[in-house]
Amino acid sequence: MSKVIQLEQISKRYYQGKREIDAVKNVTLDVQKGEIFGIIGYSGAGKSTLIRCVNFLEQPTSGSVRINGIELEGLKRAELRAVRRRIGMIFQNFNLLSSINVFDNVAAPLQLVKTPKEAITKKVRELLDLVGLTDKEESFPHQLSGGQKQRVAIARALASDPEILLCDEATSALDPQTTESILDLLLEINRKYKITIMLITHEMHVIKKICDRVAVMENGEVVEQGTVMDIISAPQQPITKNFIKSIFDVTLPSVLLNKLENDKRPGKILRISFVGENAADPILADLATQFTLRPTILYGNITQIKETIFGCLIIGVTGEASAIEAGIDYLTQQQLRIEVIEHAE
Amino acid sequence: MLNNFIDSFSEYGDLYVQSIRETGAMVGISLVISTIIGLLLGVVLVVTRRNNLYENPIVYQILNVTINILRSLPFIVLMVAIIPLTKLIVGGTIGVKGAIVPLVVYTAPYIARLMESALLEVDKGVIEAYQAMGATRNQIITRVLLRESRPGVVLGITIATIGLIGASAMAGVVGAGGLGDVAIRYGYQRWEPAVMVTCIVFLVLIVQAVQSLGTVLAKRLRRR
Ligand SMILES: Nc1ncnc2c1ncn2[C@@H]1O[C@H](COP(=O)(O)OP(=O)(O)O)[C@@H](O)[C@H]1O
Ligand SMILES: [Mg+2]
Repeated sequence: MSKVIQLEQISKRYYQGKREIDAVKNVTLDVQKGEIFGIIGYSGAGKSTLIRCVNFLEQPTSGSVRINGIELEGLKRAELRAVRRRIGMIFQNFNLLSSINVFDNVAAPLQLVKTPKEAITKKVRELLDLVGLTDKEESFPHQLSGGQKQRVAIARALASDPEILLCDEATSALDPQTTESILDLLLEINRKYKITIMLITHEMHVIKKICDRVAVMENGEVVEQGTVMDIISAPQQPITKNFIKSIFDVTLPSVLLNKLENDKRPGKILRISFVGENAADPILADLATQFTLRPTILYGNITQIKETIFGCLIIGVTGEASAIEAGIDYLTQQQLRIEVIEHAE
Repeated sequence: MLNNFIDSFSEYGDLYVQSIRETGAMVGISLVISTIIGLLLGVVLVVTRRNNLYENPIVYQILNVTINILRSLPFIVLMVAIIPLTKLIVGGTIGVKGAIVPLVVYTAPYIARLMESALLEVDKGVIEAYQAMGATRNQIITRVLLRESRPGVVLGITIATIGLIGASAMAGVVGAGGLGDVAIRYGYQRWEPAVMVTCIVFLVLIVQAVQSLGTVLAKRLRRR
């Protein structure tokens, strides 16, 4: 797979009077062709600064940005514009021109390069059809809802047939329902046109729903990155765990914890994470019949990560110590991730 | 009293028509020239700022200071001070022609400031969106800045026009005529209150009309 975006050791320093602000520190990451890559972090983490470095809206203080292998540093203005035309971008505040109607907003990138009128009309109609706004051609942005505005912005971003779409908090100004529909649209665009998407967000839900890979940013640095499945099933950093908690709580409720603390019976508490098909296997029954253990379900949670089912089950098992060990081995062989929870998580 | 007005009208009717024409000519011509210059300077003031399209501190500072200096002079002082310049440009200092140069020098910097603030109102995000789609700097000026700022520009020009009407009244001093001139010569120097009041009424009506027109136009352009 080819790397469409390559960021190497990107740093961005701002000066505010005498004060130095290191908005982005040594970030290295690649985005593969056709994937949806998410960057998550709290406000002020440096996400916007980083994504703006990708199309050189912001020039990094140091480091290298390559788009399809082309180094952006040192490009002439015209060359940079040519690269930018291959990269669409959408924003939290839509950034449409309020003085022109929907049609002209979508047509803007084509008008900039003097595309023939008929070609523009054809393309704009096609895009408005894609985003479901055929009847809004003549409307002005102020007559549209937030979701509709973002659809117009998406159509505009796609007008020049870009290979890459950058999304800076594209759903953060929208209500949950509208967010869902915009995310569905982004997913459709990604599949239909094979457009590589790089998005930034502060919502884990966005990552879980459409991203393939994710990087977690904190104080200007990428502290963790990997496939969304890996990050959700085995988060390493405290901040990542926090984000995951917001969509998928795998910690035991405190009431239950207290009860277990006082339970003197011999046994262990296990957290079993399962992915995809494994979700259907009768593992608890196997533990009982093959290892004569007594599993008790304490807590469970199941969710969908993009197309894959991901679940987590916390069980207590009682029985002989050796049988418990054998049981854990067995579970591990079933491609399940097992963690033994010592008390007080 | 009413009779006075009727008399005044029948006596000076032609004078009023004539003076309104003169005011119209002075204001109209100066406004067109000042708007062109002012809009241009306003754009330069905005794009040469720090972190802007054509960042250039030297050009910005020179323009900024020059505009401030011109803006600190009252019209009557400015008019006299630039007599040599007026002579140079139009070959004389008398009549409507002689009034236009000082009116432009007075109004253009004012419009430049008004345009500057209208242009600064344009959403940075929209400019950024156009940069991201590969627009040239000049395309951003014409397609984003000048388009998005239209309501503010219209309001600014409205304000400037009203200021210009006021200044034009003083241009009577150089024999440019106009309503202000009639008010001074007949209303004050010859002490004919009816003429004075009539001139005031005309000025008020004209200013009202200009303001209403500007407000309506700006409202139409503002699509928010
Ligand atoms: N133009 C700028 N000048 C100075 N500081 C900035 C500028 N842009 C961003 N910053 C600072 O850089 C940090 C990261 O900002 P940003 O990239 O917008 O974060 P995020 O998008 O993750 O909320 C913040 O501390 C912010 O105040
Ligand atoms: Mg941001």
